[in-house]
Amino acid sequence: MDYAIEINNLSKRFERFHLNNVNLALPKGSIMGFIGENGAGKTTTIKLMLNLLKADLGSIRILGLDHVRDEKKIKEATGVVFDESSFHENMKPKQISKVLGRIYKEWDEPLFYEYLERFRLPANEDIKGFSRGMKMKLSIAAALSHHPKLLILDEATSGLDPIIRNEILDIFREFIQDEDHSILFSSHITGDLEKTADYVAFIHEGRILFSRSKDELIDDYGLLLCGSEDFKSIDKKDIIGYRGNRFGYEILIRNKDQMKQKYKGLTIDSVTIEDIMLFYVKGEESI
Amino acid sequence: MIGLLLKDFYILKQYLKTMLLMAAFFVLISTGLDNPAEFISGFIVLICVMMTITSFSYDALANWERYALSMPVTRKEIVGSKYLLSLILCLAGAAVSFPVSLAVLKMTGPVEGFGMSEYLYSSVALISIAYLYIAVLLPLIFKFGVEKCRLIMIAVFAAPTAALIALSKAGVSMPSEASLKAFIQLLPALVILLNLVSYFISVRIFSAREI
Repeated sequence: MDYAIEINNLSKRFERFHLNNVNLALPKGSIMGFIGENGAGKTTTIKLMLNLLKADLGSIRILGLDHVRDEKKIKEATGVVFDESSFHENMKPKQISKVLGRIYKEWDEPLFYEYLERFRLPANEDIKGFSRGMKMKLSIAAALSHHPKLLILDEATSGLDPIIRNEILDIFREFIQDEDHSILFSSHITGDLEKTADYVAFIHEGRILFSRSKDELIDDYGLLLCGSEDFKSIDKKDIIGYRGNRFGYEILIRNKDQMKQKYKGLTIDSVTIEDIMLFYVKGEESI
Repeated sequence: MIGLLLKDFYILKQYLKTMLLMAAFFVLISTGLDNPAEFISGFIVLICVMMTITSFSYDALANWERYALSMPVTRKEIVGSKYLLSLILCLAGAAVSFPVSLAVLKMTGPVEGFGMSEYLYSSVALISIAYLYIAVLLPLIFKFGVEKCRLIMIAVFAAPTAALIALSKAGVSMPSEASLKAFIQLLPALVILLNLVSYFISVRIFSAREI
C-alpha cells in the first residue's frame, strides 16, 4: 500500500513531555483523524513532521519522501492549516495571493479567488476585521490553492460554529475525491472525525494508543452496561476503562461480539469515538 | 525569498506611512536647529532600523514563522530575507535623507564648518552605524525572539554612548579629523563584512531553533 504519511518509532523528549515511540501510517487517498486531549502530543507530532522540531529518534516519510532531505519538495505538495490563522492582520487576501504566488511554484490565483468567493471572503479588506471562522476559511483556501496532495490540519475546526465546520468538512470531502489526495486531521472534536475520517489515530500522553480504521474501531469496541453486583463478576482483563455510579457501571470493552457471548445477560451498546477517548483518558474514575 | 520580502513590504506599508508623517514633522523641526542635515539623516536612518525590528514584531504577532516554514521556504531564506530587507531599508533611507537634507540646507543656509564633504562623511557614518546595529541585533532576535530582545536592544543602543562618555572621562582625546575621515571611508566595507558574518551566525542560530 502507498502511504501519504509513514512515521516510525518517532521520539522527542522535552522537559515536561515525552513523545514516545510514535508509529503512524496514513494510506494514500484517505482521511486520518488524529485525536487526543490537549497536550497529548498532536501538535508536537505535526511539528516534527514539518521539521519545525527536530526528532530525537525515528523516521518520517511524507508522500514517500524523507521529511528532512526532501523538505522543500514535500512542502510544495502539502497544505498546512494551524489552529490559528498565521496571516498578518494588516494584510489583505489579495496580497496574500501575491505573496504565496511567489512562494509556491504551483500557486493557482484563479482557484484562490474561487475559494474566496465560495467562502464569501472579501479579497480587498484587511484580515483584521475577519471573524475567527473567516480567518480559518482563508487559511484553508490558502492551503488548497497550490494543488497539494496532502493536507495537514492542526485543530483547524476547533472554535468554529457547526455551520462553518460543516462547510469546511464538505471541502475536505471534495478534496479527498481524488484518490491521490490524503488528509491528516488533528482534532479533539470527535464528532467531525466520526463524519469524515477513514482512520483514527489516538494519542495519549505522548503515546499512540491505537491507529486503525474507524469502522473496525466502532465494530470492535463496545460499552457494557451492568449493575454493581454484575460488575464484580466481570473479568478484570476485559475492562479497558469504566465509569460507575450508584445506579450502575459503563465499561469499555473490546471484541464486542465475543463479549456478547461471554456476558450473555448483559447489554452491550455501540460506542462513539468520543466514548473511546473518554474511557481511555478518564476511565476507572467513579463519578 | 521574494515572496517573503513582498510580505514584509505589505505589512510595513501602513507603518511606513506613519513614519513618513513623523519624518515630515521632524524635518519641520530640524529647520530650527543648528545642523538640520545631520539631524535629518540621523532620524531617517533610525526609522529604517526600527522598521526592520517592527517587521519581526509583526511576524511574531501573526505566528508567521511556523507557517512560513510549513511552506516551501527554508530557514536560510527567512534569515536572508530579513538581512536583505534591512539593507534595502538602509539604502532607501539614505536615498531619501540625501535630497531632503540638501533641500533643507539650501533653505536654512550653509552651516559653519559643515560643507558638502562633511555632510557626506556624516551621512555615510550614520548609515553605516545603523547597518552595524542590524548586524548586532539580528542574530539576537533570531536567538531570543523580538519580544525578549527589547531590553537587549536598549543596551545595544546605549553601549556605544556609554563607552564614548567613559573614554572622554578617562582623558582619551578624540581622534584627529584626518584619521576619523579615513576610518569613515573604511566603515561601509567593514559594516557590510560584519553583516555577512552576522548573516552566517543567524543562519546557524535559526537552523537550530525549534519553533
